[in-house]
Amino acid sequence: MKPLTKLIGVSKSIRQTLLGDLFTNKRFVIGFTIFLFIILLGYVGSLFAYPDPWKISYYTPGGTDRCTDDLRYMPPSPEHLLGTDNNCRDIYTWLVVGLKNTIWIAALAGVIGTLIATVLGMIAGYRGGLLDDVINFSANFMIVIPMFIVLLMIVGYVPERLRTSMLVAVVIGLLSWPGPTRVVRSMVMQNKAADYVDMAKLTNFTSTEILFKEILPNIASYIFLIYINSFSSAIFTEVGIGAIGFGPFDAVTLGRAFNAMLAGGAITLGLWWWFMSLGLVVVFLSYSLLLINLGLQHVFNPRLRFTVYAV
Amino acid sequence: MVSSFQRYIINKTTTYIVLWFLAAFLNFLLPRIMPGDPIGRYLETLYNMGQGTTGGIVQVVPEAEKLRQQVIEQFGLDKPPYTQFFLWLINFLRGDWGYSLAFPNLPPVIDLVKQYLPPTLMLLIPSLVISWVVGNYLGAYMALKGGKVDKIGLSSMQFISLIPAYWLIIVLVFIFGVYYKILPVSGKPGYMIPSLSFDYIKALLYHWILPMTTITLIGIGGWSIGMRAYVIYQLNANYMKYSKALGLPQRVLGRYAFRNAIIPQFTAFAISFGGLFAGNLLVEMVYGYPGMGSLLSMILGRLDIFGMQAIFTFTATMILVANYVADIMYGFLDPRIRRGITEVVE
Repeated sequence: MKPLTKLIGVSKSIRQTLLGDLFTNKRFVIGFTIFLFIILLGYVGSLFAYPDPWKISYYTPGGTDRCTDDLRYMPPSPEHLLGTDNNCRDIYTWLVVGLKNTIWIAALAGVIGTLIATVLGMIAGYRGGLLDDVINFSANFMIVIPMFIVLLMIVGYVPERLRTSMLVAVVIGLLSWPGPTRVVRSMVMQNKAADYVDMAKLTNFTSTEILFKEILPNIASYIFLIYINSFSSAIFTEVGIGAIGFGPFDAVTLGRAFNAMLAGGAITLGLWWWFMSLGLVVVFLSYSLLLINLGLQHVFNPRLRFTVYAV
Repeated sequence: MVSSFQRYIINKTTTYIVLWFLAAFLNFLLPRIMPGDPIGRYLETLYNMGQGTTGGIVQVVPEAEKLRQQVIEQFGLDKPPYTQFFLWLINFLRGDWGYSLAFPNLPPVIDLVKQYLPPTLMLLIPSLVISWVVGNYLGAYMALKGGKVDKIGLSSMQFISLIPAYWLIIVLVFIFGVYYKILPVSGKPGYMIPSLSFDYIKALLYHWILPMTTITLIGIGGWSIGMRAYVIYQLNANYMKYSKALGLPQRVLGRYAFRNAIIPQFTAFAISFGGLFAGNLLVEMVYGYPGMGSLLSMILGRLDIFGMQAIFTFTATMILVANYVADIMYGFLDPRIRRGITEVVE
């Protein structure tokens, strides 16, 4: 049983205990550290990368544009931290540039998906009626069909020159609202029945005011959790479609780097540093996001935070 | 007078029929609203194919406009959209899925599916069953044991379930194919023509081990996390406290929790088929296993719109059927729905 003093601590300063709890939460701290490390790999790490991922043979002084066999498939060295690929390009540069671009794509896709989910979920949950039925039905429909297949279908039909990172981010975002919408909807429905909403109604708040001033602040922390989830799955999606050659065509992303790795024959040649670096970045990025999510959940949910025993 | 359970079935059936129409409509609509010129692409494909042969299509190319009109008529693209949609739908239901442009001999798409679907099912069904059974037992074990076993088990399962399948197979291929050289590095069974012969099946099985291991391992992670949560939920339920107060042995309590927790897992079993199918596509594409993933990557790579339309609709149909079965199964398994005591709350 948690000491009662911890309960009393709430009245002292909510903020203090929230932050304090957050940074004493082991999961959150570990997750946040890994996440920070990977972000730093992208941003600080790019200081050590070459400016142009497409340019070949930075190795020879002066640099030729010809890709000769001795520049191809070089093992890791101080000049090329992860060696070079079949086109004599620097793998480390591809990794950090790809990481940065993928994070941006996923962040944007997550914002779009979460925004749509919040708006639709709030409307459906608060209004109810026909609008709710329509939104709920479409959400259920979209959940049944795996989004990855719809995404493949869309990017499969779009010609390569139009497949920009912006487009891919928007499409991933537009396809990722169904699950979150249902979560927001059910949370709004729960909150709608709460006493504080009745109180607001009595004080003549309009529906919009109740939704945005009363309910939204109450569910904001959960929406943030939803965002982290969407962000994480958008990374997976981008790398997935990129790996089979249907990712953004205008930028180097992690997916594209995966594709180059597969096409470059890294596996059969046994260039383990190539595929291990790419895979581990993706795995640890999503694992850190999961840990952050779990940690935050624990802190946001007071019932998990303090073991309060009901009579 | 229909019983509540019958009403439940009728309700679900109509919903899924509507869903199927929506999915088919989406598949019909997408290629038509996408930027780009599918007919131009089709002509291009024909042109590229003709290049290898003497005469044939190459000679017609100067009259491209005429050819374009011909193609539009041939595929009925000049008819009003709703007529096109129903024609396409009826043809789809009759098994006339058009011809694939991805292969030089323009095979019917349905023949391709007949050839590439069995290896995929051979991969998906055993892996789903094994990962479901192992995952459920593991999850229940973690929840019932608690303490350190639970903590370490949960974190490692969470980690495993987050590994992208298409990367795990790369690592496994490197270990077993490249380093130890005991398993094939590519999923393609040599130059053999797919058939039902013993040799082909033997070769296929040999190439089946790695993708099978990959998706089973990742599946175990997901299933055990879900099952653990359900069992813990059951352990905290009031009936469990009551049984505990009655002094029932731990073994019996565990069985109670397991039995109640497994119901949602049964439904999830059928539902997961869709997601697994999608995830498996990438594994097949990366490994070159001759299943639906490889077929899809060929079709996508060569912009075969008829193939895409047919295969995506087929996939959607399969997934909807799996979900329909899951919903009906849920009705049977949950005695509250079966006896019509409560309505199903979504």
